[in-house]
Amino acid sequence: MYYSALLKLCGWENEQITRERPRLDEAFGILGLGPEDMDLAEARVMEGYDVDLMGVRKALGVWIGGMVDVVLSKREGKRLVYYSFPPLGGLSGVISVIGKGEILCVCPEFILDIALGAIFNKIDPILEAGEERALPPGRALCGLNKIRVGAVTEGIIPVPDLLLSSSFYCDQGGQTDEWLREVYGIPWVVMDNVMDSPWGEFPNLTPERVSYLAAEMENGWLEAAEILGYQPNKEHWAAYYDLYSKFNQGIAKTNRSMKADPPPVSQSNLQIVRFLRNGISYDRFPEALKAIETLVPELEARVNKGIGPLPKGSPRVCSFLIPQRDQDIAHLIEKAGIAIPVTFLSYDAYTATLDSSYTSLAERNAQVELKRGLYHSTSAVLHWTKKAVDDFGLDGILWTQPIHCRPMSGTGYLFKKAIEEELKIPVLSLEVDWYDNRIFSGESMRTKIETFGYLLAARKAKRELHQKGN
Amino acid sequence: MKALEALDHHLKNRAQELEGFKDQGRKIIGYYPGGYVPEEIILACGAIPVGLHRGGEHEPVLIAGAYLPRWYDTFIRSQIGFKVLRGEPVYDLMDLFVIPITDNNVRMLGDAWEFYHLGEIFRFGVPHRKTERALKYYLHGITAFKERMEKDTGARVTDQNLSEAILLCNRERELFRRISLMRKTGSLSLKGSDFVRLLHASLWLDKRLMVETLESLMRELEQQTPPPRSGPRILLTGSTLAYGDGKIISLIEEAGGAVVMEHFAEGLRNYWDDVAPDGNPMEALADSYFQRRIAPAWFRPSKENRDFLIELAKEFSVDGVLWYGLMYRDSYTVQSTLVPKLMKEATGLSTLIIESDYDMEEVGPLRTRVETFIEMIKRK
Amino acid sequence: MVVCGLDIGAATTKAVILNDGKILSYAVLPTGQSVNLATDKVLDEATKKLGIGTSDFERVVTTGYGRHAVPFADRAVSEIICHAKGANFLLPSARTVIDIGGQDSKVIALDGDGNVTNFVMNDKCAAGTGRFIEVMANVLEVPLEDMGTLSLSSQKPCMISNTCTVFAESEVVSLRAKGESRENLIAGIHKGVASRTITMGRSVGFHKDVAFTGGVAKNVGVKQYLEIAIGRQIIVPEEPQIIGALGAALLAREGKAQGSI
Repeated sequence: MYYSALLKLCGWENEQITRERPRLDEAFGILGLGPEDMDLAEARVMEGYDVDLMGVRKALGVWIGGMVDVVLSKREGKRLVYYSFPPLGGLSGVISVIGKGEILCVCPEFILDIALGAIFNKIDPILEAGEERALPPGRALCGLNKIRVGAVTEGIIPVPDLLLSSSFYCDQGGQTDEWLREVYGIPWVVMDNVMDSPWGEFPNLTPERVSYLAAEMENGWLEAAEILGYQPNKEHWAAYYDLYSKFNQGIAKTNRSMKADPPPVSQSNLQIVRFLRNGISYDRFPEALKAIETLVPELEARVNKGIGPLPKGSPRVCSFLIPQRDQDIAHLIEKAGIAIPVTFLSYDAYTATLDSSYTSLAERNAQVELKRGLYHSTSAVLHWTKKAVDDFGLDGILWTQPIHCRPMSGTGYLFKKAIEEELKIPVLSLEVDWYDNRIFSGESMRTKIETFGYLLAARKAKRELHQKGN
Repeated sequence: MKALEALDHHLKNRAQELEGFKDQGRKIIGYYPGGYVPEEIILACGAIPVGLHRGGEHEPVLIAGAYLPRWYDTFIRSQIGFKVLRGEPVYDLMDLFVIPITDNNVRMLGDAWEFYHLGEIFRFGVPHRKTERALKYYLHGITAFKERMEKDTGARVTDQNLSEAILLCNRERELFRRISLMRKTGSLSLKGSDFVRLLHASLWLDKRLMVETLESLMRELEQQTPPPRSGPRILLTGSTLAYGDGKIISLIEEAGGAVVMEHFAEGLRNYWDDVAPDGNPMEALADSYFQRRIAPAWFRPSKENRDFLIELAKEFSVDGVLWYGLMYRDSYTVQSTLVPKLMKEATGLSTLIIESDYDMEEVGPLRTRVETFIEMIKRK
Repeated sequence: MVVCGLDIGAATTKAVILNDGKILSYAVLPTGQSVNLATDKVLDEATKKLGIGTSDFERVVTTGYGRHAVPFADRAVSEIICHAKGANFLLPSARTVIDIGGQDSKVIALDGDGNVTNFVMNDKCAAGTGRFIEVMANVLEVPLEDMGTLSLSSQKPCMISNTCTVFAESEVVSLRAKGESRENLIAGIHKGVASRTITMGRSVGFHKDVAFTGGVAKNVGVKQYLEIAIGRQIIVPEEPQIIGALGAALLAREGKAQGSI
């Protein structure tokens, strides 16, 4: 089969390819992906990702599987639930568990951006379709929302039976879901919150804040249960937490590995493994778990040998999110000799400060979400960054600032000054789009990134000279 | 009109007046005018509320580029620009800037204002849904605001002084409604641009003075014979129509159209409904300012806003709808893609979507669009 | 009744003279620095063959970017309104006009009388306009007038992913360096312009018959990709440049007949 080589490259076993063959034939047919596309995808995977790591290859394979699942979902008689990014942990997970085989609960735009975009390089027409309908170009709107609208209106993915909007964080997401509801009449569940914490409150959380989010989450669970006609019980929740905590343990281990010098892998590879918890459904989750459980010892082996894509002593920075639509930016950064051991979404820095006095499931969930820092404005990002600099031994910040993301696009701007003054380390801000690369050019950033690399290396060398002298 | 001329005079003197009040020890409380800050709480403390809503100019947007990236709402970037440029005395006179946290653009304004030490701010949150929980959260927020006001002014907010403030603001709201509703019929005694002047003035001037001005204006209007109807009747809506951003109404009026109703963040939302004069005043404020307020575009859902626009278009016998949005106010941008089709289906009316970034270069193309639109609906 | 329509664009100024609904003459000249000088010159050019003077005009209607700067105009009307009228005159079956000029692009929906029923316009982004094609022609060292025919001989248009003129330019340079043929690159450029027009115009719709006007209408490559995207043939009227002035002249005639200002 014309897709076997690609799937094997992406960690699929022969047995799995044979088993899923009719589905693969159908899905690739619908997506218009032929032999030429497979060849191109193979080349992109080989060139873009660290294919020596089976864990990374398997993760790529899970994204492709996830794409097949969502494209075929209605043809296979499944009920379909779409959730947004960032998801509010819990609901999408437990729906996924409870509906195994019967309900498909996914974040379709995330799946398509990686599988159809990063791997196959065929997401642009869908982005355009989204722009035509609901999210006009030139207004700094999010590619994820464009993909959602474009893919549904073009019939690439089906109209879902339920939308889960955790969109207090993202205004565009809420409006996009409303657009879809207006046009297709889809029921939805909204979990709301307010990002009004005063500067400096984080990482403390007021009880009111936790209980408001918890109440919204609980309400969300009830409404979803009514619409889908199921009732999650203790066993379902336990099964969900069991899987997800195993995955999160894997992530924690990869973060530990990334503290090594040199880091054993390029961060963008970890990103696509990590985001499996934010995109795919329960049906593929055992595969996702396999991917991370394969990756952990591979990374540890490299750490033991002291090897990675960059030499020891390479300058280390943190970023927000590495653009995932294409690996060009990631490569430019690596070529400039800059290592990224940690990103804002890779590292839950405050899990040690969780308050154990919260007892209800919703409150515990709400607390974990709030401690991530995403929902607390610039001061939280600043706080996190200072902690990351300490915890990962960073020499600078390479802030990949999103053009399209209103919650985050101001942060890098604001904190450049603060970090440079307080921590006395250099900060480079790169204006990028994480999900859509049509409006900026990686090439045009080469000079900035290379210069920053020189700067960091020179500073590091100077510092080490001083330290040796003492 | 005499009342309008008097208004201009008061506006010119306002900054000086406010300085005088400051010298007397009274507090000037600036606030972000999206319709979620109860002025009554400020008035009950004997402080002076001032809604910050300057806009329409290019330079403040340009300067703001050093503080925030481009990808935020133009009006919000302008606020930073006006403050930094010291281009508007009122912005320098305020003791506190109250920012209700609504969407991400406004949240960023708060962050930037605080981070760059532009002044003292007070935040409270506004949820994006109307539920009992949300109402409680909002009440919690304005209660914290009340406590902050008491602390800053040394005054005490009592049921009585709060109720008095509510009555005063209700009176202003009632007058605005009555004047606005005069435009329902064919008569156009008051141009759209004049009505907007009134709205903008009410954000800066003394409440009692506003009430007097509106009362005298009403008397003038009632005695006048309205001029014969001319030109297509336009419903103007969008995200923010700032003070100093008169170009869109001018373009409409120059092209022969007449704005008979406008629905923006700082206008209609505030005067469309009264605060209940009885019962617990704080709860009454929360009920009016949150629960019964027409949900803006960043609400989830904001169908209320779209339905309301359709109702307005019908009630005011409008000939066309003009949506004037500012760049990068993302929830409004996405909502604007739905409005033309929904409006057409419900009323048969056409909608023109226009966006501005307060850029000098825009005026020519804007004029073309507005003229085309007016011509187009004339010929229907 | 002799009337005149003037279209004062940023690049060129056009005049059309009508008598009782028939085109007597027209002229096209560069606008240059002075609108008044340009209008004088183009009126001279248009009238000299007819042996009439500007005082013989019953009405003058102006359109285009400089329409409000002409003191003797009876009326100034937007170019979108005039375009629709002009297109309707030359192509009575037209219900959509795609206009792609040097600086901006428009999609206009019109009825059988040439009245505008819906429209959309882009003037902020160069990537959907003639400017984009000019820049690329320069980069590829191809004369502008050859771009269209070269494009037609391509079997496989390049995918140019960047939607920003500045970045697309470097993308094209690097693709050329990698050995992509000029024809495929040009086809890809045209395909991009067409698709941006389609994206913009989708809310207006492309109902038949679809007319194509403006400077870029002479480019058969862009025409081809528009047709593929819309799924039907589009018509380029003869002398697409004068459509605005023609529409203005028609409105001049209409206005006098109706007695309106």
